[in-house]
Amino acid sequence: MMTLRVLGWTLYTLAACVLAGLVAVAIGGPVTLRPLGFDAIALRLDLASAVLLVLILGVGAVVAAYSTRQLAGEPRVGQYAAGLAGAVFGLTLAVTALALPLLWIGWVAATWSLIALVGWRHLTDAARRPARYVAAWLAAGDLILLGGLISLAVATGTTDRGELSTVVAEVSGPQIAAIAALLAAAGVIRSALLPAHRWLPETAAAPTPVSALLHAGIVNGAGVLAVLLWPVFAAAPVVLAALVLIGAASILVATAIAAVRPDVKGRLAASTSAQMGFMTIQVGLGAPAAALFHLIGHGFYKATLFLGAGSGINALRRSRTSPADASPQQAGRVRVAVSALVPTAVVIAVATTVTPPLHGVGTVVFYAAAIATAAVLIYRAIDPAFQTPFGLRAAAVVGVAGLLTTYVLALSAFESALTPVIGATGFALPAPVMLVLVSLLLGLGLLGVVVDRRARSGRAPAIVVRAVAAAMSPRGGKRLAVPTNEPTAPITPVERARARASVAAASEIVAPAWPLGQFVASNPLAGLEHLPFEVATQRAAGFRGGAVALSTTHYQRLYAAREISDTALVTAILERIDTLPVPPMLPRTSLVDLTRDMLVTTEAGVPGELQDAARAAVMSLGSRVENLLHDEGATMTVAGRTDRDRGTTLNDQIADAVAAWLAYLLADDDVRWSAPKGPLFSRWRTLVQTVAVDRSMRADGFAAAVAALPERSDESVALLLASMDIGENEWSEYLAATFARLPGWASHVAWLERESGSDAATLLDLAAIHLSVERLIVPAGPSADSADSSAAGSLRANVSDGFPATTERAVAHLERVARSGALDAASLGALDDVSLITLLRYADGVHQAAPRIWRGAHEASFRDPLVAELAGRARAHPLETESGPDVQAVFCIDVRSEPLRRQLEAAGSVQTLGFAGFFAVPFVHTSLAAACGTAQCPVLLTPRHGIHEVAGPQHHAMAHRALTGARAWRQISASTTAAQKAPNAPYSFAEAAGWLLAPMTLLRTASPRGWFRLRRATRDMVQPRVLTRQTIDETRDGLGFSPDEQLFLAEAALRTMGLTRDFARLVMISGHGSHTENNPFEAAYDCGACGGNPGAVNARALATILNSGVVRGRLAQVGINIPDATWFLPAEHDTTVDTVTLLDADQVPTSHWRDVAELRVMLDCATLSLSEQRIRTLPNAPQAATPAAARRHVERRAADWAQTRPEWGLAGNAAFIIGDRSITEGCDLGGRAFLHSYLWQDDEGGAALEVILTAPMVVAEWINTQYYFSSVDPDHFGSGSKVLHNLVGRIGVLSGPRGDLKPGLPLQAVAERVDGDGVHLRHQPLRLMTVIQAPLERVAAVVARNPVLQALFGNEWVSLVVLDPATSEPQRYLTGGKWRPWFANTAQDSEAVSPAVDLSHPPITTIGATR
Amino acid sequence: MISNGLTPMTRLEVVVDASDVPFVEQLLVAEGVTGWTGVPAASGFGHHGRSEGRLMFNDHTGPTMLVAVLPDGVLDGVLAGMREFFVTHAGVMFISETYVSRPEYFMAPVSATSG
Repeated sequence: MMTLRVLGWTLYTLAACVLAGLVAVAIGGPVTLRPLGFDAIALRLDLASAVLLVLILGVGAVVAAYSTRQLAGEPRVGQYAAGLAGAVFGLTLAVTALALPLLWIGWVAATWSLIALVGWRHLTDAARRPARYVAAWLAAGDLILLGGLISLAVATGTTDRGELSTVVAEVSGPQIAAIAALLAAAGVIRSALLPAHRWLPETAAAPTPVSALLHAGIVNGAGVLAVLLWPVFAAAPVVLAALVLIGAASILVATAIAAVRPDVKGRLAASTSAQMGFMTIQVGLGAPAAALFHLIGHGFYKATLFLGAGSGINALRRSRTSPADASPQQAGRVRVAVSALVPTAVVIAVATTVTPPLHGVGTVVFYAAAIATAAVLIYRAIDPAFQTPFGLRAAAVVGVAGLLTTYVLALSAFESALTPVIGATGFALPAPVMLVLVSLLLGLGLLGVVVDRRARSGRAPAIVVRAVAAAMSPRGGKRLAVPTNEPTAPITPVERARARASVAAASEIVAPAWPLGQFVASNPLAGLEHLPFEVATQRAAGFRGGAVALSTTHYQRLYAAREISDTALVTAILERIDTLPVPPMLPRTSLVDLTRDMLVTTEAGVPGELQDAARAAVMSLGSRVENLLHDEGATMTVAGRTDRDRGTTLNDQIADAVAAWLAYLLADDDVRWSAPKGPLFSRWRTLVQTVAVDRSMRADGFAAAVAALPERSDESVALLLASMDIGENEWSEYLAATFARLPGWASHVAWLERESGSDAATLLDLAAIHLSVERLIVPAGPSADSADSSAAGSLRANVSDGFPATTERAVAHLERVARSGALDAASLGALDDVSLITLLRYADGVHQAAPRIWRGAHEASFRDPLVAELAGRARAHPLETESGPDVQAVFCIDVRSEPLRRQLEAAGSVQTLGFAGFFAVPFVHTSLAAACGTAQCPVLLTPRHGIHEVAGPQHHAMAHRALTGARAWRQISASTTAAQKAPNAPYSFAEAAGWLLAPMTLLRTASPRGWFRLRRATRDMVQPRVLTRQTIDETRDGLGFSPDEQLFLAEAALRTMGLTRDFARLVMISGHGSHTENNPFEAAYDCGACGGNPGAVNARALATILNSGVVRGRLAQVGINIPDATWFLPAEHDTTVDTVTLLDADQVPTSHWRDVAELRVMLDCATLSLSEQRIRTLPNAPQAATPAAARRHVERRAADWAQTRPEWGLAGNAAFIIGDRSITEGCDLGGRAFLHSYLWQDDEGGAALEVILTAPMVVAEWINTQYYFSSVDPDHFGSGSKVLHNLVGRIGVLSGPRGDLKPGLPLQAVAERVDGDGVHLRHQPLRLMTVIQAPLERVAAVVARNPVLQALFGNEWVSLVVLDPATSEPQRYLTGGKWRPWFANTAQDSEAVSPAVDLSHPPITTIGATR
Repeated sequence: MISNGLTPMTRLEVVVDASDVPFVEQLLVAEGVTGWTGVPAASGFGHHGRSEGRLMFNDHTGPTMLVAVLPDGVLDGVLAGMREFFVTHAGVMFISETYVSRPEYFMAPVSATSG
């Protein structure tokens, strides 16, 4: 990491030097440096190369600084830094080299550095495919460039670039044209222009900063070459004309691709190709200086967009507070006229009166592009739908006109200064050719507008759709013939109903996954919670692959670090020992000791003689070994079986194609040319008639075969399964295997189905699509060389490793026994066959049980001390309730509240409580004048009430100002978005915006806090903060709660948290939220109980209800007397920076001002201490900082757009404690426990406990399981590393350019770093343990009447412990409603344990009603 | 048609977990059933013990009863779907004869086409 930091500062310094150099060469002329007097390595800094260097070093420095933070904790950062340095210094060399060979060396260095960066994070062969594809194209380009440069040197007799302008004239026309063609071809490839446009989207496989780095002179290579070697291009008009045509064609195709790409990096890459097309047109029209102006502006612009590619979800979430627009209105004539005439008039005025025309008739193209941009900006800026006042709209017109004037003047000045340096001398093309080309370009521009307009309303001309389809097809894929025997048999109602039910049964393999905008933690195996945890995880792993427990090596590391205690390990072995095959009697060792030794002994070397003895012993058993260690295989699809038998990759091809179709069909919010509407299967059938996303699906007959399928998805599924000879009793298994091919997309579809029913998309639709593709492209019939593919034969593949592999496994088992010291070579050799087989069975049993034993030991190492501590405290504090604190503070149960509660209690006389963060007030909240609302409750609930935020008394004028400001923001945002997306507008926009964005990007990267403050100050100025109220009381238009409802909610909240007496004068109710930048997973840090939203509005709502005199009066009637002196004060805990903001402070009565002031002091003390503690847990944070410095650091992290670990979220969560604070107060739980306040004395019937267990605890279990699975396999159940994320629509992320959606948490949310030893987890994957302080009978009764709880506790998804006040022993829930003492089976002395010990469980008590 | 003007039809009663209701509803729609009545938070006693009905802050758990009248020709499809469903999901289903006064009210206007 230090390497990257040094590189960043070096590049910053160099960029600053170059800026100074720029001024020097502008004044004093070019500077040439000849190291050691050699011309071959001479470097020249002229105005053009200095300008290029500003881009290269500027973007390079930003990328290096950004990478320093984004890549923290990534493996092989040194290699990355080397690649980055190679690219930057290679480009630096290329643009300053005077000798052509040196130019090429720099150019090639940049190429291979880039290729190394694209493949940097990928170690497997398949994952490196994009890097190889990029390498193939770029290497071809480099070779062509080499050919061009050699030809040039031979033809001119010089390798000195500075002499080209004089010597080129001596070369014959055809010869120089051929050389220019080679150079142009190299540039076309480098700039991803047609037909080389496909390599650029593949770079999405690289970390995000690399995509930004591409724009520092790599992808804009065509422009760089033209600037460096302009005399050659200028001497070849034919090549220039060809470049214009290639540029125009690239714009057309790339614009269309950008309009249909659902992934942000793919869309940006397509947009870059289009921009490069524009730059090439500038070159072709004889304006290399204009091209240089463009490549610099666009380079900064696009680098910024790539670095901020994760901010789409932040923007989406913030747009929920944007004001509503009026209904769209028809474009008025005045609006159209103003939009068109103002920019035209400005350009004509500036061009004719201030600056001379730039390039004769070619100027028209540039001016047309500028006018188009300004027209779109104005057209949107004066859109009446935004309801901005007339003055603002007029100001927008004037502002755009001013910017346009500045832009034209700047371009003109730039060109005047650079043209002589580059060597351009006016017209390079004959006037007639120029006229034709310009007319063509203007015509194409108009055509583009018409096509775009039609396509946005779903009426794109067929030829355009086909062109896009062809251009979208990714590389690779074998073209196959569609079988002619398409399935056509009629399907009966019974068959289609069976298909539907089979899909429902198969759907248990995937669970709904919420989109990122409302990221809700959920169990990826939620559908399997009806099964025991071990069975469910094995079943999931069988279908989906991936690890469901940490690796043995990882557990051994934890054992070595004493995070897993020896006692816990032995106890876990004891729990499982009776399920293991009993081995032969072995000398001097016990079964438990042997098992432990086998588990803890690392894979160190085994003496050669032992290896030989083990191998000989196994070989002596012959083929019996295979039967001994046979595994039942996983269900394979037909395509999978074909792949196995024929060596094809059909399974991956099908998955990629279906994923691409789904991305397009389901992410249409972000797709400009939207897909057809209707149910998913029907939409796909329509789409597939025109858009093929894979070459294999362009097979003749594919579309026709799809069209011949039944329109109903249930009938299609039944038909396709039957036609593939899948037996009806295997349908559900086969469908589960199908869903397991794309679990991410299947989970998203399951969510859509959950939210919208059958209207949008169902798993049945997905199954129909997947099976259609599989049935139609997989060669029909059994493969000749397959023994078990006899059509309807068992789908369960025999995945026995085969004899050689099984032998190795058996040998490894024996070696493991030997390593533990239980056997030597002699005793191994002396074992007879029966003993050997028994020993192997035992060793295999240990191997299979290892994950479960280790997990049990890991969990016990955390749980046992905690349970002992809590039980001790429960005994020591016989249910005392504290009385008389100055302040009571209610926090969300979120684990991040625990440290804050501890600090706050230490800061003063404060009693804290925990409660689900929606505070029992579920509603849809609409912010002040916002367009839409958010559901502020757990997703388990459907809110039935709405609450609006309205301006407080005396603040209507301020609210009006804020609303106007918000509309102005929206106006600006909508205008710039329109300019980026409209077909003719983005070129001048990118060019101009880049120059403006460059300093902002620099500030944002170098000083995140400075940038954040600047932005906040600007926002506060434009949109001042307003004091508001909520519409809590019922209104005529259906908002708010009735008095009865308020009473119900208030009573439910107070009784459930056990706050029914001894109220303090001040009761703070604190929701929580987070603030992070450029973070698609922002919602994962917000309040889970509020549906992934910040919870401040819920705190405000409950406080308002509880401060109501009416509500208090009615509460008194039900036995809850809130004193008049008590005031409820809402607040928000910012979990990223550990601040607590008091809300609605303006409503606090004067009698409580002093209390509030004292609370503020205590909160400040608490949050300062917390920051100091927090930075010790954050990677790359100063470890010995003062509280103030710690505070600055956490603020910097929160504001940093490159930061992937702004906070740890809920990492570490492992316990859910329900009880009085007295059992946890003062105990450092390390932010690992959800704390829910509960007083069993006030809950006779267990109603409050039932609420806590069936709602907050269920949410906590979702969170816990998501963290668990995202930790044990971050790439499979988690979403992998953030640095590779590619946002798709508003839904989720891809890892790289294509493939399945990646559900779950990112690696950086659960792990500190990855290095040669593997993943170093911050979150220890432990299943949730729920501890309840209540009578056992009451808990048992609640569990017995709730099947959801029986499943969670009985199937060991959650462990339940009860601290019964009547007994001293904590009791543990067992399957079937049985209980046993928690510590009954704990090994107190591992040495004393032997097989002779009675291993039966201690007496089991059964309480209450059971199944 | 019987003498008092009533028409014999088939009544379906299904009790499933709230999270499984969408499956039953989609099956009924797909097979051409024109309507049903849902009774959320049904209480009772069964294989999973006693259920007290609605939970205060959890709408997605607990038994729900759906009652539908099936027109001719859809029973086989619905039965096949539910039987297959009960292989992997908990719940009960009752089929009985019933009588309706407006048989056309329960007929699908056109055959179901959506998946």
